[in-house]
Amino acid sequence: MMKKLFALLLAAMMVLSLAACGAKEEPAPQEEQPAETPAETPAAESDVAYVQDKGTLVVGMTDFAPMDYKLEGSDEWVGFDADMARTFGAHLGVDVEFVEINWDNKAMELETKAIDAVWNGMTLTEETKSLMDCSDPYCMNAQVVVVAADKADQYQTVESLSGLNFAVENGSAGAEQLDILNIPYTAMDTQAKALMEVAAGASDACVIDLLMAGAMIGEGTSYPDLTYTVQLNSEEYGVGFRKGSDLVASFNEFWKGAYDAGTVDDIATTYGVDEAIVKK
Amino acid sequence: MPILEVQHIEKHFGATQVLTDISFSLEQGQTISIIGSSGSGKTTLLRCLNFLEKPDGGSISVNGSIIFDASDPKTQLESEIRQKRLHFGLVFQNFNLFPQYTALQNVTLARELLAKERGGETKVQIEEAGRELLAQMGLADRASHYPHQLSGGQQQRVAIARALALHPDILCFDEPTSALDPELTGEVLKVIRSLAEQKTTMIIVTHEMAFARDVADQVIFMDGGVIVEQGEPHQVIDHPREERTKQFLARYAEA
Amino acid sequence: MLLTVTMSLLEGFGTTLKLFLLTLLFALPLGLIISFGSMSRITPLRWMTRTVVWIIRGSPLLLQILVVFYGPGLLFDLPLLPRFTAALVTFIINYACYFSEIYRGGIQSIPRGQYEAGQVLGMTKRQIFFKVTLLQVIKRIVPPMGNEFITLVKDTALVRVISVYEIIWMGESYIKKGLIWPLFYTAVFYLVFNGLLTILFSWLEKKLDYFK
Repeated sequence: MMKKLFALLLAAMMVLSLAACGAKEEPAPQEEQPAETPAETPAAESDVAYVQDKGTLVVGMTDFAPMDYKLEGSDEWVGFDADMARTFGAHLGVDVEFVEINWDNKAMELETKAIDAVWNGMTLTEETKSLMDCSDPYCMNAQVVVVAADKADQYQTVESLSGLNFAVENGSAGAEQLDILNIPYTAMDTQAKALMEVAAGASDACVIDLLMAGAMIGEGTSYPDLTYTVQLNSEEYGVGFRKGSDLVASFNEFWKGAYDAGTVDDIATTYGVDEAIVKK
Repeated sequence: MPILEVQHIEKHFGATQVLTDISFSLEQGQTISIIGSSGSGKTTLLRCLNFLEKPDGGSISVNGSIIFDASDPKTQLESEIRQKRLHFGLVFQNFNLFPQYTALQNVTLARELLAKERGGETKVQIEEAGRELLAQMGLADRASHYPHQLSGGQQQRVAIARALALHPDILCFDEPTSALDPELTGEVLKVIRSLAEQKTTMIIVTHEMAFARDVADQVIFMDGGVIVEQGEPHQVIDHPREERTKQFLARYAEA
Repeated sequence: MLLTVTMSLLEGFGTTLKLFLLTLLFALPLGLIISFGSMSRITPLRWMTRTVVWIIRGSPLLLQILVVFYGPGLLFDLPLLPRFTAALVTFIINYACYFSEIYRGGIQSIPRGQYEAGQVLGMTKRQIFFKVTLLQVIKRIVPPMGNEFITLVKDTALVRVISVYEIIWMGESYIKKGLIWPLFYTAVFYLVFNGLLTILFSWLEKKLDYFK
């Protein structure tokens, strides 16, 4: 419901903005070009220059261990993505500001320049790729099914999943997998809430990222009574930028350099995600 | 020279003519009673005198000087209306006391506001005068009561004191006893009667025929927005010449 | 743990309170101006004001927050307002419209006779407003205003949609750490604050009970 509302608003605003600005992103195939071309379109400007000009790279993210999170009693964001983002900021010569965003609004946040990048273990799906320009994949991931540990042995196959009540983050890669399998679900606004649903017994199962499942469930974690069973797919993480932004190329180049220098591996090892890093 | 001279007043609301060619005059110290059935235009006439309605035609003079002339915009300046209103006082049918003020505060409020603008009296003097007025109304012990703590008759007497506090040249009453229970009308009429004895200049719109006859020096009978008959009370009320006056009085006699 | 959570929720509640107080500070007077517009004798002004009030009161506050924050960027490629400012602007406009209707109801419920009594006593319009009608209007609007204030406190929770970190956001962030109770604990802050507001308003009503 909420997702539809947002989509509707977004669509309405896009239509209006396109109408107002003269189809700046459409190829405008058959009609003749408008006599006057807009003096400056965002795509024509350098996004790198824009970010360097204001001196801050604003990274939109959510609280998502082990990629972005805060240690007990600390106000500083840490995690694999957070640390890499700071390294990228240093590479550009700018400060990095982290903003916790409402994940549903990530495309609007980017488009309106409220943030400059979505960098938060974002799965590269057809949907995210259509909403923003994404970097090359940097990390492997999978969608896994989480259930109560004491019932885990009943749900080891995809076939056994039908009939379970699922909770899943709205619009996430997990939701996409359930759609493919034609399994109905209750949409939550974060993966963490989907987990909470299962822990509280409100839903039988949820689908979350493997990286998150590794960090947050099982013995010695916040949810010791949960475990993950079926792996539904394998997928890749990427960083999202504005459409047409030259930050994409800048990022890919930076990453290659950092990978070759061993920086990526060092930081990945710190947060236990070194197995998942995409080899360059 | 009459203190008030009303000439050829006309007033209509949309297409409805409510006052037609109203003329009369009033001498200092005299009282006029205006009688007539509901909708005859009595109340509208009082409201015109108090600038609550603007006449469409005619003029009004007080003490020989024109304070309103429908054909002369210079007499209708918004900025002067406030000053001109002070020639008149108006006692409403529904009292319209200010509920958040005590009886005494109701009486003194407007005079204090005026004194603040113009200087002159002190707050203490105004309050002293207010208490005297309330005493005159027989309400000395009700000065610190709020309106909702007073009976209708007491509220109307406070309203009379409030109007008197500004020393108007002419005091107008708009059916002052119509909203009262019958047993409470006496105390209000008694107060008005004593004001007449003290030669207060008054215009009283009323349904109390006996009272109108006793208290007034002149009676005006209105019907359908025109003055049908005017003259001394015993003439208009006891020996009416006009057929419409006779019919009206006959209906009252039956009731 | 309770202390850490309480401190962090208090920080979120600080944002909630700031939004609440600043909204009132601007929306209360702005509402009065809007109510004068909606009672104006100038017909186009009256209809324009009433149309705006209808749109603001008739559409979800949540959408208004999104439009005010993202709208300038999406529609005109303009720089955005800071998140808190956008939330505050939306709340001020939204609540000013609600307040304007309460004022209008209060002002129009004062009998004509009160104005006329003031007029025949030679008072100016200003004097009549401040000395005669104002307190009567206040007495009449205190109960509906009390309701609006309490609704406002709870409505502030909506601003987390544009990432203003108010108390519910702070409570929810603990879910990611596996703690569910802080989210429900936020209710205590709302209950205590709304309890204080309720006491304040019933005290005010009592204070104004001396006249009818």
